[in-house]
Amino acid sequence: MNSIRKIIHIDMDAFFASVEQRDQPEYRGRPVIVGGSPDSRGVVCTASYEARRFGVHSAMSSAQAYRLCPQGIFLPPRFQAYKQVSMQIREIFFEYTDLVEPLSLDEAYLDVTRNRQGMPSATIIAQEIRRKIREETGLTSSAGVSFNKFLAKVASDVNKPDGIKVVPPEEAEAFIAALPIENFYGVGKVTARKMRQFGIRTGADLKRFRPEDLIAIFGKNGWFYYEIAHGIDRRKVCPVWNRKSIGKEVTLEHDIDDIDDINTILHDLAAEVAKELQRHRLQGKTVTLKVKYADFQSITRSKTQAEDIAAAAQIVPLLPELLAKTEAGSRKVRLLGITVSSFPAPIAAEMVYQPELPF
Amino acid sequence: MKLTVKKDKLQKALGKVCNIIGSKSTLPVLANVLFEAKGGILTLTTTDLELRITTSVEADIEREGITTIPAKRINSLVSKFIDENVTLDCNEKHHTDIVCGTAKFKLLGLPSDDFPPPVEFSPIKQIKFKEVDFNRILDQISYAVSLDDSRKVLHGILCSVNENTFTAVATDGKRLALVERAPEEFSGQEGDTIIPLKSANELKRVLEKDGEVLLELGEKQARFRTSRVDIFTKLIEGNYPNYRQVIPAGFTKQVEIPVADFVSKLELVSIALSDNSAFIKMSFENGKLNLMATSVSVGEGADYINVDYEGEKMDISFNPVFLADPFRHTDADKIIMKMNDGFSPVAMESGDGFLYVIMPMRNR
Repeated sequence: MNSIRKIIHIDMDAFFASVEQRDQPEYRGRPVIVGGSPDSRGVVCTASYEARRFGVHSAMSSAQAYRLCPQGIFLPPRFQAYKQVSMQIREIFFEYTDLVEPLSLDEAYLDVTRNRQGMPSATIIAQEIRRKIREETGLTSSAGVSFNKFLAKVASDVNKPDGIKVVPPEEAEAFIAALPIENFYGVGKVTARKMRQFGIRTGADLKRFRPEDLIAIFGKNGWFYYEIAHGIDRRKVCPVWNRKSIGKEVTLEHDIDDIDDINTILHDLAAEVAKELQRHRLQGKTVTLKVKYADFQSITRSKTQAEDIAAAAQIVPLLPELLAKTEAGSRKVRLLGITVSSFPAPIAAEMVYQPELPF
Repeated sequence: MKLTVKKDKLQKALGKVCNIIGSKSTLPVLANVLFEAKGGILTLTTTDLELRITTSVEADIEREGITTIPAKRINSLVSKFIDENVTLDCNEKHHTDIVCGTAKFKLLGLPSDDFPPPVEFSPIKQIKFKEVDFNRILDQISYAVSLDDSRKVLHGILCSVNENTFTAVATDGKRLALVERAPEEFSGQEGDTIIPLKSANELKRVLEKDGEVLLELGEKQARFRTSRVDIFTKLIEGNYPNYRQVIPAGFTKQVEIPVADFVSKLELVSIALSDNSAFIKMSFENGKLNLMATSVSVGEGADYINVDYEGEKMDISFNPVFLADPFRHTDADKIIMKMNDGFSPVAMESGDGFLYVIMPMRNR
């Protein structure tokens, strides 16, 4: 809290779909849906704004998207093309600062408190970046500008698409107060439901709670919610994103209950996860098995051990025990996943911070 | 003005008043010391407009008068003079001839009329402490003030009197230090006063082993008087946050920490820390307090001390400076640490009216 920071969150508008519309002019102005094909079991990655008007959104099953928008243009994702654009926009970010934290291919945080140009206004930087992105890639983006990551991220959504929202310190309180809790970072569906049970619908509601009460209700995340409600978010913009886990999962073409088939798939997943671990030079102590049953109910089972895991040969022996704690085989499964986590301490050290006393 | 003064006494007096002189002031006269010779006493005054410090020394005065002399120059001169007596002779142009033994100087001063007069105020309460006691109070808490925080009220020390208990509080929002003492004497209205850290530090500099200090506190101004020094200061206006609310109501765990042992082990283990993201992890388990430091760029270190702790293992992490501060500023042999869990505020008490509340560091 030494000095007020200047944080920008840049988010590309309907990224995958926009790249497709840029590259294939005949799709412009039409509902483009990038993701699995409607007759597959895949999901929607990105829907263009034209498709969103029909109620199509990302993570929805492609089959449902088709029911909502049968005239939609369904396209498979071209990750190579998206990656290339992602690199282009990152180059633009680096013109201003090294403190760039990419969250995915199409969004990033920038800390421009100190920037290469010595520009005092983060708003002008954000506008310049948006202009350069449009000129160099032909795509539009939205920006949120504020003094911490949480507010910048929420702000970038306010005037989307092709817009900017600035939340200066003096407006933060009112901005947070009016914010529905679903929009709070870290508040998922389950937490949101719990919050509604306690009458918390907006930031203003959340702010009325004392920190000890929030801890009693939400455990140690209570502190986080308390701070966020008071506009406090000390998370730094970390140029190197510290991974907390590496995982792979697969949605099966057909629901299966054959235990041999399940094992074959899990062995393949273990090999893929191990490959990723080696690529990132990481070793973890925890293996998590994820099973989604045919009725979409999802469960995870974990095992943590003393030795570090980096190879498939270390993951595979743990699988029978984890699998035995699921109903896979007796119930049909639609998705299987393996994740390795609990990476060693240096990563954790970067993530320790000093909270405020609850004044 | 013409006078002769003992060199040692003049040097000591200049030392008391010259510390607040800034290098770049908007008013040129603020870089000078006001010299006033009257009735056998030479009075020296400096001010930075927030704070005004006056002290006096006996002098052999041949001609009474008043002038101002550049502070940095005369301070340097007097500290290098080797003879016993210094003679100051000021003419009507405010040029002062300064002679000590064979050394002769002429310093160009400014008219004393330019020097800001003291601000009049009426005290609403008066508190008297032994100098040594008040020095102790300031020493036990003033490190917890941070001028980095955007809340101006936190840039000072809260002095509050209620039911003949004097409470001094300092906080930077992350930890809080508090001392409660009974003053030697008190009169006037009860209530809160916020003394700027700089003023408290200047007062601390001039407090000595014997004697008493009188705190005269008004609404916007205060005056601190000892037999040798008189300090006027502006106060910080505004409401200090309700510090009582950050002191947890109860604790489930209580551990006695031996001060000397703890400080030496803490300093040892801290060698493994780097400047960035430094924290000390404390781990309480049966009969032991483990101290662990890890840093990405240096490595890691661990040691432990024996403590009287039973029950489930508890881990808690602290900023190493925040953790060490109360231990470094105590006279006590033991500090009691009171906790609930690894992420709620922790209290430390040394049994002499001192209380410290600190927020543990947290993992994301």
